[in-house]
Amino acid sequence: MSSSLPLYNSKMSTQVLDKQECLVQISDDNDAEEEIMESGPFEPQGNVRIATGLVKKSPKDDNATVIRFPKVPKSRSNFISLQSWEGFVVEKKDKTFVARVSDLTHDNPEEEAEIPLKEVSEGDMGLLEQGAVFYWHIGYLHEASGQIKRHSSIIFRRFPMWRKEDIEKARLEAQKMMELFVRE
Amino acid sequence: MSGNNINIAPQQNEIEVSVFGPGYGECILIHDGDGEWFIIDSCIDSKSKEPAPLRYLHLIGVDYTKCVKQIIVSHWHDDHIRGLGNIVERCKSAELIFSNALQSKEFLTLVYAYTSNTMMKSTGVGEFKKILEVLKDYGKKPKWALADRTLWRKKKGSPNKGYDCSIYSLSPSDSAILSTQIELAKLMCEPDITKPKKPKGRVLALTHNRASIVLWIEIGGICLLLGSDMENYGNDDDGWSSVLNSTLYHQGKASVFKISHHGSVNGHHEDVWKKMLDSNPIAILTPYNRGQQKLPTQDDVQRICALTKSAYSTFDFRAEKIKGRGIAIKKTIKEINAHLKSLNNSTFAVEKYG
Repeated sequence: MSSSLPLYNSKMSTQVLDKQECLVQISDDNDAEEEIMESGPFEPQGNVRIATGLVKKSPKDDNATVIRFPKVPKSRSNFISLQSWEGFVVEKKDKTFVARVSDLTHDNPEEEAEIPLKEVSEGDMGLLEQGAVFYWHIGYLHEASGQIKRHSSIIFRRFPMWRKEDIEKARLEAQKMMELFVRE
Repeated sequence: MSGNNINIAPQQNEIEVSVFGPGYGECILIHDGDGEWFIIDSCIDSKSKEPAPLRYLHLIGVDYTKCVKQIIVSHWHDDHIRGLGNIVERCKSAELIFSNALQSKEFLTLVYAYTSNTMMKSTGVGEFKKILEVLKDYGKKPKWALADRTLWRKKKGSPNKGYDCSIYSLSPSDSAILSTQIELAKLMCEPDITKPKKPKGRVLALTHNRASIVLWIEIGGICLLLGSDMENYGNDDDGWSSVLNSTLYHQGKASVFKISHHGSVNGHHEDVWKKMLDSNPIAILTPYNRGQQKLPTQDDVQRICALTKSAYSTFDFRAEKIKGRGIAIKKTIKEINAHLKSLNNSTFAVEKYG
């Protein structure tokens, strides 16, 4: 049995099933009251109780072993992409920007897009300049509430800054090519 | 001439000039009348996704691995070199010719810098990098074109077969080469290139059109002037003014003119029409259908039609249909008030002006 958590000892044997579940004997006292904050998918079996969340120690049972492990939050929303492009900015105008985009989803020719500036998040606005590369995704956003909405998002790529090592490496490659050009 | 029929190969002793221009990109393919071919620039055929000249040569049954003698890269801008890496790789017998303005360590450094570790679909210099890699693999050196240089000269093999053929470059001028290299050197000066908040992005253009190669071609007494993207720069040392001072074209006047810079007013020089061209030359332009400045404008078309009765454009306005865009995607695009336009049009099309 694989485990990424240590085994917890208590008065009876314990087994760790996986990260989410810990098969723990909370108490060997059948009368002890435990409050299980969150329970796992299995039915309790005898003295063994399974807890996937916080387990509150019973005030009556000083011998109970209390294991607390973090509550894993459920995903808030999920995006399913229907169409994606990679693009680069050709021109920034007052209310829109013009870009050349390549279809990443289907085999289509390049297109020219004119997109309103309000589609760009505030955090990305500083990146919007000629030559800047971005991804544009259109799809369905599945919200935690269960609602499904059509959604468009534009995300600018954050490339690493130029480093001196990058330039030096490029210079060396260029030097080799120049030597080939002038060779007799 | 076989005209616009793409399935018919030129005959022996038939000179053929084919111009491809799908609205973004251009390519000129020349047959010298004796089974030898010359490719100037490249663009992609929208249907096959192959380089347009290779697709055409394949359709007419020409073995381009042997018959293409020169590949001339008139300048390195993205719209003139798409698919060129593929052409250089496959046309093994061809000499490769670049503008001498690009014989610069700074230019090569920038190409290598922009193409390293970006994981971008398109860097803007990727095609050039591919060409360099092919040259390295084959151990080939390019030739360099500059003003008043002979790039090709061949006498016909026998009295009844083929024609004398010569190709000359009329640009770039010394001044254009120097100013291009100064601009490139400035780009490489530190700390600018490594300054904060200057991330790598996609390069749009590193050199001006002054670095372009204007070609003068003579085949069997017929002269052709191919203008690339040459423009006017307001001085005699640069642009069309320096081309007009060339010593190599004075043997005749061209009856075929590939109009420069997509027919723009910047690419127009009155003296080119008066001194270098026949009256009513066959004038062809390749439109530029991207960005906000689409070329030629209506004024450009009127100006050109006033200068010749035989003006043609390669553009077919029927854009290639976009696949796979369901209602949900179209609705979302409409709701956010974005607009999309396909940029690939038919490569094999011609429209007559006037």
